[in-house]
Amino acid sequence: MSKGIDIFFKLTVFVVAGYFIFDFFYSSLVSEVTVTERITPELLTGAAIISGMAFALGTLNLFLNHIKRVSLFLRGWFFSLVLLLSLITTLSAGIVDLINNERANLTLAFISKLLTSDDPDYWKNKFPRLTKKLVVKCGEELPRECLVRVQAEYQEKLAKKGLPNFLFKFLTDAFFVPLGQAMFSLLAFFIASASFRAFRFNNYLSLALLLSALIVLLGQNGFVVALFPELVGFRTWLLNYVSSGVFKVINISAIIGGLIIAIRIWLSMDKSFK
Amino acid sequence: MILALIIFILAVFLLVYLNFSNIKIELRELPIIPKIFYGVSLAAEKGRPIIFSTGLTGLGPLLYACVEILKEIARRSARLDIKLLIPQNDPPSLAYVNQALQSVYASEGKISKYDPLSVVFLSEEQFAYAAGYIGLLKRENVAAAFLFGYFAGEALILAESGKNVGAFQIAGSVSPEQVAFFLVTCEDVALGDELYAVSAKLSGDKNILYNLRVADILKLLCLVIILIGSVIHTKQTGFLDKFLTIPVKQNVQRN
Repeated sequence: MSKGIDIFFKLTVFVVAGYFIFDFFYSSLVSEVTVTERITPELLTGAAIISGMAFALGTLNLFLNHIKRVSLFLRGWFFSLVLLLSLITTLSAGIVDLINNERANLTLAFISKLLTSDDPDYWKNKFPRLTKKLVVKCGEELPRECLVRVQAEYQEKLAKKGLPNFLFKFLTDAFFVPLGQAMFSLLAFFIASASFRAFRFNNYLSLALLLSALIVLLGQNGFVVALFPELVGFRTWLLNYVSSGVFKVINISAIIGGLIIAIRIWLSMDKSFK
Repeated sequence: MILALIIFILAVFLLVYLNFSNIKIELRELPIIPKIFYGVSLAAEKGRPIIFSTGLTGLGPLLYACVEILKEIARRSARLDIKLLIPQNDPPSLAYVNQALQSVYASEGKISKYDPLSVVFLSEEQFAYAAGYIGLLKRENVAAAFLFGYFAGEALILAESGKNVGAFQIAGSVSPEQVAFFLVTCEDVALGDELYAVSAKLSGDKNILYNLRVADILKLLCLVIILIGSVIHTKQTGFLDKFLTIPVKQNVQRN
């Protein structure tokens, strides 16, 4: 990278990040209505577009990785094939559904313009393809009654949704959500096996861990609490003071560490690729 | 908010000052670092791959810290010809990690060994990512797993699966809830901001070491603020008065 481009990038990072820092402190300290609020959405839209492009990059990576596995018949190639097929199906269903919806919405907007506008010919000339589509259904004159009927048809079509939408919804509801939940439910068994390993008395530290875990566990059990009501106090004290204090320490330290790295990036002190 | 502004300005000032002052900073030995190197050596000895996961970390300061650790592992992997797998869940992070890895292989003179597909995009969805990670672990039969970054509910799933395939595991997370899970499943864990210290130590870059010094100063400042706040609050509750007052014996009149 030439020096000029390097300086340009550094300056861009400094100005854009500096703008957001200024925006944050200005809106908090000086005024609730920021003077910069008009530019912020534009910048965020830009960031969203870049993220979208990166997402395409991720999908491409996924495709290449699994095509390689399938074409070379590497171990587990069949699963890669299933992944590729489901990816293509979901992607196609999503795109076709999007196009159908956009078309229907566009036609609806056009019909409402024809119905409400004083000069419908202006809109007919502006959108000849949409006009042609309606002429096929209603004839050359485009009578009002027919337009209202077509409008109702499209509204019904939008409400009903077609096959691509059904497919997209089916894939999400029947596969994606239950599989995610199945993975999450596995956590219970993993916790059981991990806690079996963790709660062993090896030294005084593991004894402290074992005792506090026991107090917290038993403090949640209604039967034990009925027998030893003092246990609830111990449990609450452990969670509210000891555990919460440690959580706060880790969080504060991590936030400060993150802040310093952010400042380093802002001031272009980062030399990751040099 | 004024306090936040003061801390921010102080951090900027200290960073710039240290950068120009060229002070030499020595960092104490961190016991986790030899274990990281041991994990890499173990993978070389077994001839099996290494997996490095940044979990759900998005493009941000934490990823920068994780990538410094990854770079050192990748450097050693490139020297020892070990296959390195880096599953990702965030596409912008994928691009950044790919770039960092490429620069490491180039600096080691092994750019022909660099495989862009070793950085694998799995899924943006948390549990789909976990499923993909387990698949990679089992298929590739990894020897060492490094888990650094931000993790949520999937942390234990990842770490326990690593344990099941017999991988040597080292972790580090800024999410305190998940640190407990890593403690019971991994050989060693970088607790919270220790991850930043590991990153600074492994990078050896003086700028990153200065970062650590500034973070320490700010942490000390926060500690002082917390202590003052605690004293003021305790004074308001009246506990301090009761605690510091010497009880005076009252004369009991006896008839």
